[in-house]
Amino acid sequence: MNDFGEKIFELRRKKGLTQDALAEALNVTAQAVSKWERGESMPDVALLPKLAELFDTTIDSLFGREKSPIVEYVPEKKRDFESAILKITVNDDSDKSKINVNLPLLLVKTLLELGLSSGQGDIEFNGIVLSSIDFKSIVKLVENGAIGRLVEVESDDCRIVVEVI
Amino acid sequence: MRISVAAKGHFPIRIVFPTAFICSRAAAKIIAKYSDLNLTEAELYAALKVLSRSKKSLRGMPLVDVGTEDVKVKIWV
Repeated sequence: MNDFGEKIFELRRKKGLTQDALAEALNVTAQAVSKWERGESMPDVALLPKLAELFDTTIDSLFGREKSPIVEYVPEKKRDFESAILKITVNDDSDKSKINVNLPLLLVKTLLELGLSSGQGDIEFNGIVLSSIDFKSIVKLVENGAIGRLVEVESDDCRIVVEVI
Repeated sequence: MRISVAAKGHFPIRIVFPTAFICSRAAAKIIAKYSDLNLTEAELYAALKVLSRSKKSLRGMPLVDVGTEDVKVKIWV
């Protein structure tokens, strides 16, 4: 038995096939399969792709020429600044109100640059000044790749969550 | 831009503005005049342009969703 024969024998057993069944699948005789496994002959090259497909492997692998897997470095996905959304949720228990604002970060940056703030980098929504949140810093953080929940402020009756999605 | 307002005891209101209008100089002029944003027309126009550019990133989320016991306001771009 040569390496190729051993491999066919091993794969055939693993797949639970008899020599007859493999022969039938490849349209050859059981004797031919037996000869391959004993190393007395080799299959026709035209049969190799079908043989590899049948065993869910590659032709290289049938001949023991295993290639080491290619390890590719896939960089961690960063949210592109242009498509990032600043999600601000304010739950005010005192009047049971809920404010949910989804602002494109690009817009936040523009508004800050235009000076739509109280002067310290705060943004005001309908009278609710998010004074505890430094939006300028948030924009900087996101520009450097930060993503997810960035600020969470909780008081007795109010909860503010700022996240980047 | 779609604005929907639902107030208790009132018919719901739904207003639809074409984005082309909302992001125009004319809209910027109106918003600058009647809103309390304290921005000039040119500044507003710049902000609206940015909003229009980044509307795809909202992926169906409302820009603003405000809800109290009596009133619910939603704005989509």
